[in-house]
Amino acid sequence: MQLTHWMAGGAVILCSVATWWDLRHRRIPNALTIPALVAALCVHGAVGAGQGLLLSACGAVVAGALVLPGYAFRSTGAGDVKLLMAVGAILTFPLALKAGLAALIAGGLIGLGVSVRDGRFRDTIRRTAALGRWLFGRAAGAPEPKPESSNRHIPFGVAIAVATLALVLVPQIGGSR
Amino acid sequence: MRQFKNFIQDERGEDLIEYGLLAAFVAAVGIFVCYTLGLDDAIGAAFTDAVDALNNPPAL
Repeated sequence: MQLTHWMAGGAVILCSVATWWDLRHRRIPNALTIPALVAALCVHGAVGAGQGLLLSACGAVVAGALVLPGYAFRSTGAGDVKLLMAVGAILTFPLALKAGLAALIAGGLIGLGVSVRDGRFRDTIRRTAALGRWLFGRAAGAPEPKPESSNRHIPFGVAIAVATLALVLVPQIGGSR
Repeated sequence: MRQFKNFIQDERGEDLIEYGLLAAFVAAVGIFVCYTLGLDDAIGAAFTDAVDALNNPPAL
């Protein structure tokens, strides 16, 4: 499915409001994400019939699945998961997959930037390596104590917004309109 | 059911920095592997086939 103007506009408006709210309150309200998700499914269902609804639902599920492990490990807020699901439903599959992957990378870059700004780059890399060892060790069945968390967070809604804007505004990434 | 209720009620919009870095690393490796092995084309083709099959169901 090609990226249409209403999809691009809807995603930009949703992400702008979510970013503002996330920066201000470190929350992304359900009053924003859930209606956006439902509206996207309804509009795609109305415009593209069964195929539109399927692509929109696939977009929501695929985008949400990318960040759901983070929620399961209590590292990512559910507001972020629901925002990415809503963006995925608006953009539809396969753009939603690109948006999700780009959001993860943007989140990492923001995290790096914050660590450098706070002068805690080495500490962050050390904690990231420890978390990676713990997760992969756990997957391999090797019991290891969970590493201590830094308890430092980034507003991931901003990363979702940056990724979505890049996808929508740069046709080479998101596909032509 | 309780987990789903918690998920719906939770509105937190922040990500642990080290988890964000790890997820970015895994995503970057995944993208690199997909493009290197040409899996992106295979996934796209499989999805196109599925959509075509939905649009043109076999006659019963």
